[in-house]
Amino acid sequence: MNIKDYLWILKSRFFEKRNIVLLIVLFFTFLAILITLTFFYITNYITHNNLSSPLSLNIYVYVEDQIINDELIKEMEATNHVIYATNLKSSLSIFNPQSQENIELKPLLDEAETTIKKGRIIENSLEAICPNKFYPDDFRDTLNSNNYIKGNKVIGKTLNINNQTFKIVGTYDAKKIRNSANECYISENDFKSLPNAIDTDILTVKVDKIENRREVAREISKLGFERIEGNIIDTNYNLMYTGLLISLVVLIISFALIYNFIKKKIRYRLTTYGILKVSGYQNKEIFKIDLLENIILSTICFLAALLIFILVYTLIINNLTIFDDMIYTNQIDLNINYFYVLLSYVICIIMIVIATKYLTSKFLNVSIHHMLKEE
Amino acid sequence: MNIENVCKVYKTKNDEVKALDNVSYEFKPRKLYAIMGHSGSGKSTLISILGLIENYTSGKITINNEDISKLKDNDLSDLRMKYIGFVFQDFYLDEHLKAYENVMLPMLINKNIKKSERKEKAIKLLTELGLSERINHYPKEMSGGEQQRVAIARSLANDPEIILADEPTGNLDETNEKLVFETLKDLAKNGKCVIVVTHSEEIKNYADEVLKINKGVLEV
Repeated sequence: MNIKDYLWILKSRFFEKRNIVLLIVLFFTFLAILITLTFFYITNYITHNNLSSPLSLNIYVYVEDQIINDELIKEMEATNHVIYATNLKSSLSIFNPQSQENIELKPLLDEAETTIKKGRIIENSLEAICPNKFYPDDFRDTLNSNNYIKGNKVIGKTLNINNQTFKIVGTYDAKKIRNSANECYISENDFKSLPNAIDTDILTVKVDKIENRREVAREISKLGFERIEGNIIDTNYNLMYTGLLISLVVLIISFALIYNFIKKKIRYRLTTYGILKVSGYQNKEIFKIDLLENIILSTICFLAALLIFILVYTLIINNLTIFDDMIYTNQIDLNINYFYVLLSYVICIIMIVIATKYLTSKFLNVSIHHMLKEE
Repeated sequence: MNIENVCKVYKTKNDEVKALDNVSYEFKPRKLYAIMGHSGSGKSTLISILGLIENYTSGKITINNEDISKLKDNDLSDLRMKYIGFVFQDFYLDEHLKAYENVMLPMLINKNIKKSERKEKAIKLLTELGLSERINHYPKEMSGGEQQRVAIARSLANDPEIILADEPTGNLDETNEKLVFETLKDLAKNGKCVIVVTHSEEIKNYADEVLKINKGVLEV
């Protein structure tokens, strides 16, 4: 028998009542799988990009009963894995009442922190670099993506800071280091000249790698500093595990549903299969007929579920204003990941194949006489 | 087809039921055999075993001198395709297929029948059985007698040597019953070995040999 023969046998059966029920069950099952795997993809993405609990390379050392001076800073910087130590504040909020712009200013202490996208790095005084998608606002109102100043339009813009005019000479990739859309860098010296730029109690220590933070914290504590803060805990996998657990539960329930309905379908067809066997059909041929039918039905259902999924998902994402207040939205890739769509399809087909194979083996290995009596 | 000392024992939880007890017989071509007996005598079990659709507990069955006892399921399927056509009391036609499509169904697995010949052969079989006007009809559009003749045509699809019929007229009226028996008789005259299990006394007017079975024992 070739595939045309199988299709010939199936052509009149596709719209049997039981198949309509199976179609509906498969549709909702596959929709659930698509939603779940997308959810898993998003939680996985958030976890592995450390978006749920952003991990900072900074450790904050509280210096009590001591003056922060160059000697202390040098001692800190001598610690293994420390890039720099500074008593400058990590940022200052600057509000310009005329332009109503709110900028978070940061000192550029390590050029490697920022990846320049357009223009150049700071070379002179009164220069600044700002995010490539720049939004000089305090986010009190809903963030509208149309208000971003992007790319080349950022360069040349001026910022009025402490009655001084700074010129933006370059843009950097804020998304990469999880900076807000209004965080700009100026030189260390320019920053120091700003009021309240120096912190008298806290030393900021920058570590070279996330995994070295614990060791650096340990070394600093040996120097006699007891109060050290910073997000030193490791990546929080809870969100990803939650996504994984939900995915597994949905997959198990889906498989159980698919198995149950295929079982009912085969039982209903047992007499038909009995006649085929009487006529000389082997079990493998009957299995292929059933499998082909189930794969065709599954593919139809999957495509229908995918269509609905894309429509609804796009509608939700385009209308989610809650995300407008989250400055990290531009860091989460919320586009549909078609690899996961393909993965969903493959998982669905695998479930269909396993259920069909097992059930046809189980039901076809009884005597034909019993198959014919099953009504 | 030759059966030697064939036994069939059904085991229940507390008991054993001997459906067939050392049944031996040789069935030859060009003959219509009738197997008759009361309900529970073992006649359906016997014909199921002859049709290779039921296992047997002990004994030997040969078809064209080939011992089938050690054959696996796939080999038995091949044998059924080549040598055996089965007709049932309930017809078991596929309600989704037209008459000629039902007849074509067994041909799909027969490599000796070309795809282009299938429909033509099916129509020819139906015509020979007086169903030329029912070729494109679905089973629900036909009478019981017509459906049974479609089932007979289907059993002939791969030109088997042996036709087995299990109560083929059980659901038919007198007129259709005679029609079916006449058809089976014609098949025997044309060289087939036809074995019919039936309650109907009418078969005695057609059968070359009448075998009686009682409590699993074949009385020749």
